[in-house]
Amino acid sequence: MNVLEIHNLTKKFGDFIAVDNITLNVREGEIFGFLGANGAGKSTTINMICSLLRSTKGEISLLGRTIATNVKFAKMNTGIVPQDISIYENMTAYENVSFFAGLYGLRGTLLKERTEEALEFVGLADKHKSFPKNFSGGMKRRLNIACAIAHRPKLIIMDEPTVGIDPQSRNYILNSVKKLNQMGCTIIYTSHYMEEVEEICTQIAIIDHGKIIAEGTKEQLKAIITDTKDIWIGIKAADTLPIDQLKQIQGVMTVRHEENTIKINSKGEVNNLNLIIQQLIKDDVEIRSVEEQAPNLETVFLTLTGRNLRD
Amino acid sequence: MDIWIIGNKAGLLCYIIAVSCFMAPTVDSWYLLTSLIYLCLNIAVPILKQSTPNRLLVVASATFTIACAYQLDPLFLLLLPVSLYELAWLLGGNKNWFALAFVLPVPLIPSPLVAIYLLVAFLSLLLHVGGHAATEKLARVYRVQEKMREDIQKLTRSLNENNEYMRQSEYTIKLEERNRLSQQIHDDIGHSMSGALIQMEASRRLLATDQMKASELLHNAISISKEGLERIRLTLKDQKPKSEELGINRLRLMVDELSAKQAVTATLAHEGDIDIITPIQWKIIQQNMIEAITNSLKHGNASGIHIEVHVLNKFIKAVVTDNGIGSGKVVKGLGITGMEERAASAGGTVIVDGTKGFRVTTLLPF
Amino acid sequence: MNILNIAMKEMKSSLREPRTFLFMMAFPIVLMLILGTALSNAFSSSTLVGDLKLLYNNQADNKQLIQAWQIFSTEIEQQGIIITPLSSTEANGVEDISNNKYAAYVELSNEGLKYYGSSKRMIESNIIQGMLTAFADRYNLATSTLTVDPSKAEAILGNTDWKDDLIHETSLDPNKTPGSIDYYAIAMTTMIALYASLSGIYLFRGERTRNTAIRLMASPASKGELFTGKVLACTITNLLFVLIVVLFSKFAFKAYWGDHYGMVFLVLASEVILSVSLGLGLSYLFKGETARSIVMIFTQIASFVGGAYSPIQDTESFMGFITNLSPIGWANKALMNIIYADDLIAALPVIGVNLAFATTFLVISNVIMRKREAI
Repeated sequence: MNVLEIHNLTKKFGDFIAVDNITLNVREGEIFGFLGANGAGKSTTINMICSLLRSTKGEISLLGRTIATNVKFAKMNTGIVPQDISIYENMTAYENVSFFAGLYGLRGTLLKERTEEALEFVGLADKHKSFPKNFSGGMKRRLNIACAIAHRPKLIIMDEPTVGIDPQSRNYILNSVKKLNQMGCTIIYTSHYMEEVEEICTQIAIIDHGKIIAEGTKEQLKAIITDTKDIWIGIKAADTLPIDQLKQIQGVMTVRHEENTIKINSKGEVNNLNLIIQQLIKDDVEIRSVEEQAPNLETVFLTLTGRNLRD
Repeated sequence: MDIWIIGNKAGLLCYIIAVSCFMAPTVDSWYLLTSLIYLCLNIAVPILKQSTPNRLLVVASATFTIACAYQLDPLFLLLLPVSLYELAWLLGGNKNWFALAFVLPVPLIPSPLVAIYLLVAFLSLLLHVGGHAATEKLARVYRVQEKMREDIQKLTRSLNENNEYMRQSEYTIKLEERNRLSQQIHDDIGHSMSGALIQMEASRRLLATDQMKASELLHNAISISKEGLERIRLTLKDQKPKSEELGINRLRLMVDELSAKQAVTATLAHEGDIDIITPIQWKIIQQNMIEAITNSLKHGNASGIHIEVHVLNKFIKAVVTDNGIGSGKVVKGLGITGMEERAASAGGTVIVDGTKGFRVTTLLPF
Repeated sequence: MNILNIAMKEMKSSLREPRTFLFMMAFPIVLMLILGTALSNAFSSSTLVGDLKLLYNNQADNKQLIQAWQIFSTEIEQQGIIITPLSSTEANGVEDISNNKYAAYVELSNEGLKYYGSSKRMIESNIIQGMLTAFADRYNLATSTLTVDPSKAEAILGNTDWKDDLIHETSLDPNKTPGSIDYYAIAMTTMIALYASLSGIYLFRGERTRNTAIRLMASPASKGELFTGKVLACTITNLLFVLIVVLFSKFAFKAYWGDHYGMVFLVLASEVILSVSLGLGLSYLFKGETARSIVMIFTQIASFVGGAYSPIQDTESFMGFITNLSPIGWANKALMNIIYADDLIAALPVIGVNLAFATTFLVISNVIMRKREAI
C-alpha cells in the first residue's frame, strides 16, 4: 500500500521552478531517502507534503486521501523533523514535546504518556526537566525528533536530522530511525550524508534541479552506472600468478596484473571474493591487501548530475 | 485612465459648485474664477506627457486647492485627495503612497466636512487604485501578447527557413549521391565493362580461326564481368552508412564547425559502448546538444564548450558544458522545454545547471 | 482547546524571559522614581495659591441679597480670602484686575453677579469663581424659596453650614491634585502599556526566527487558533506587567490611583490590546527590522508627545492637539479624568478608539497572514 503518492507535483516561485513535475510513491514501511544537493527542491517538496506550501500544480495523497482537501487528516498523520532545530529554548524538554503533542489534540493522561514515551524513545527521559539551552547539539536534535513523534504519525519526514552533531549522537539517531521504522512508521529521510542514506534507506530518489533523476533501491541506483566491480588485491611478489585459474572463477571478466597489484574486474552481483582468495592462497600468493571498488551513491550522484552533493 | 481621473475631478467640482451655489444666494465671482483655474490646471495634466512638468502641475493643482480651501471655501479640500492620488501614481504607484495620500489631508479637514471627505476620498481611492490596477494589467497583457506575437513570428520564420533548408539539402544530397554513383560506376564498372566488351569482340573475331584463343578470351571476359558485378554490389552496399558512425561523426562535425566558425574551443569525448545508442536516441541527443550549444553561445559568454557522450550501464548521459558565466537561477524558456519534451519522448530527463557555467545534461534510459 | 494550549505556552515562555521583566517592570518603576522625585517641585500646588484678593462693588439694594452677601463674605474671609470693597478712588474694578492687583472683581446688582477673573492669576480666580458660583446658586435657591415660604427661607439663609458647602469644591482638596509621583505613576504605566507593541512584533516573527513556525504550521492547529491564542496571551502577560507596575506604584510609592479601579483597568487593558495589535500589524506590514524601528520611533515620539516625560497641561495649543494624537496622551487624559474628576464617561471614547484601532490592526494582520503561505 502506498502511504504517500505524489503526482506531477510542480512548485514555482515566480519564474523559478523549484519542483518540476515530480511523481513518486512511498510504500508503507519504507525508509525513503531524498538525495540531492542544497536547493535541489527537497525541502520544497517536503513543505508541500506538510501543507506548508501550496503546490502550483499536481496532487499529493496521504493514505489514499488528497491532502489539499483533507488538510487536517494529513497533518494529524504526518510528523516533521525540520532541518533547523525548532524548539523553544526557554521551555523544558518535557514542555516542548507536550506542547507540540497537545496541538495534535492529545490531552490529559494520554498526553503525559505519549510525551514521556517520546522522550524515552530519544533517550532524554532523565533530562525532561532541563532547558534545551543547556543541551548539546545532539541532544537538541534528539529533542527535535521527539517533538515530531509524540502524536504517533504514520509518516515521519526527517529533513537533515543529523546536521552538525557528534558521531555518537548520529548513530543514536540512525538507530532510532530504524526502530521507528520497525514500529510501523513510514519515513522520508533527507540527508547530505551519503553513508547515512546508504545505511538506512530502503528506497532512494535522486533529486536535482527539482526533478527526480533516478529512483530505486541502492543496488538499482548503483546498477545505473555499472554492473561490474573492481577487486584490487595487493600481493608481495608476482612470481606464480594463477591468472588463467582466476579467469575461470564465476563472474570474473578480466584479470590484469600491474606490479604488485592484481586488478580483477568482476560482475557486480556475484559474490566471488572468497573463491578468488582461496585460489590465491592455494597458489601460495602472499596477500597484502584486498580492496573492493564498488560504486557508491556518491559516484552515482556525481555521474548523473555532474556535481558533488555537498557543493 | 486619464478620462476616468478627469471624470472624477469633474464630478467633484460639479458637486462643490452645486453645493456652494445652492447654499449661497448670490454667485460669487471668485468661485467662477477658481473653478476655471482648476479646470485649466487639470486639463493640462493629461495633455502634458512628460513626467516632470506633469508632476509640477499636479503639485500646483494640489497647492491651489489647499489655497482655495483656506481663502474661499473648505469644500475645495474635497478635490485634494484626487490630486494627491495622481501624485502618488506619478511617484511610482506604491500602495503606501496611496494610503498616505488618503490619510494625510485628514488633519486639515474641518470637522463638519470629515464625513463627506472620507466618503469622497475613499471613493476616489477606489477609482484610482482600481483604475491603475486595471491599466497595469492591460499593459501587462499587451506586453505578453506582443511577446507572443513576436515569438510566433520568429518560430514561423525559423520553420520556413528550416523547410527551405531541408528541401535544399535533400536536393544537394541527391545530387551529390548521383555524382558519386556515376563517378564510381564510371571509374570501376565502366572500365571493367569496356575491358570485357573488347575481349568479347576479339573472341567473336577469332571464333572461326582459333577456337582455343577465342575460348580463352571469352573466359577472361566472363571473369571481368563477374568482378564488375561484385564491384557493383560493393558500391551499392557502401552507400548505407553505419548508424553509430553517423551519430558520433555528426557530433564530431558539429564540434569542428563550432571551433571554426565561432570564437570558442569545442571538444568532444565519448565513453562506453556507443554502439547501443539507437538512431532515435542519437537524434534526440544531437538536437538537444545543438539547442544547448546555441544557448551557451547566446547567454553563456563562454570561451570553451565541452561535449560528452557517456554510455552507462542503464543510462545514456549526454552533457554539454561551458566555462562561461552561467546563471544563478535558470528560467525555463522555450528551448529548455523543447529539450525536456524530446527527452521525455524517450523516457529521459534534462537537467540544466547554471552554477558554474551552463551544464545541460540529457539522461536517456535504455 | 488549542487556543488555550497555545496561550498557556506563550505566557509561560514570555514570563520566563528575564529581559522582558527587566524592561517591562524595572524600567518604568525606576523611571517613575527618578522623574517623580526630581520633578516634584513642578507639581506642588500649595505654594502657587497665595493671597486670594477679591474686589467687589455692591450696587444692589435688595435686602435679601445684601444680607446673604454679608454672611457669605464673612465666611470666606475666615477662609483667608481678602475682600475689598471698591473704593470711590478706584473708578474701574476691571482695570484693577488687568493690572494684576486683585485676583477677581465682582459686581453685585439686583440682576445678579458680574464676575471678572484675572487671566494672570488663573488658579486664584478659579477658586473664587467656584465659591461665587456656589453663592449664586444658594442665593437663587433662597429667593425662589422666599417667594413660597418666607420662614423656610430664613432658615436656609441663617444656616451656618456655608463653610462645608463651599469647601467641598473639588479642586480645593489638596489631596486630589496629582503630585509628581502620582502623575508619573500614571504616565509610566500608560507608556509601558504602549511598549507592549514590541512584544507584539515578535509574536510571530519570533516563531519564524526560532524555526518553530514550521512546526506550528505543520500541526493541525489552524492559523486562526494560533493567532487568537498568541494575541490573547501577549495581551494578558503585558497587562500583567502593567498591573504589577500599577500595584507597585500604589503600595511602594503611595501613588494615588483614585477609587475607580475597574475603569482604570479597562482603559489600561484597551491600551495594551491596542499596543499588541499595533506591533503585530506592523510586523506584517513591514519586513525585517523595519517594523521594530518604526515601533521604537513611534513609542518614543508618542511617549514624549503624550506627556510621559513632562506633563503637558495646555490642551488648547498646537502641542495639546498633538498630544491628542498619542495613545499615551489620550490614555493619560482619560485616567486623569477618572482618578481626579470621577469622570467615568471620559474613559469610554478612549476605550472605544483604542479598540477600534486594535481591531483595524488585527484585521490587517489576519488578512495578510491568511494570504501568506507560511506564518
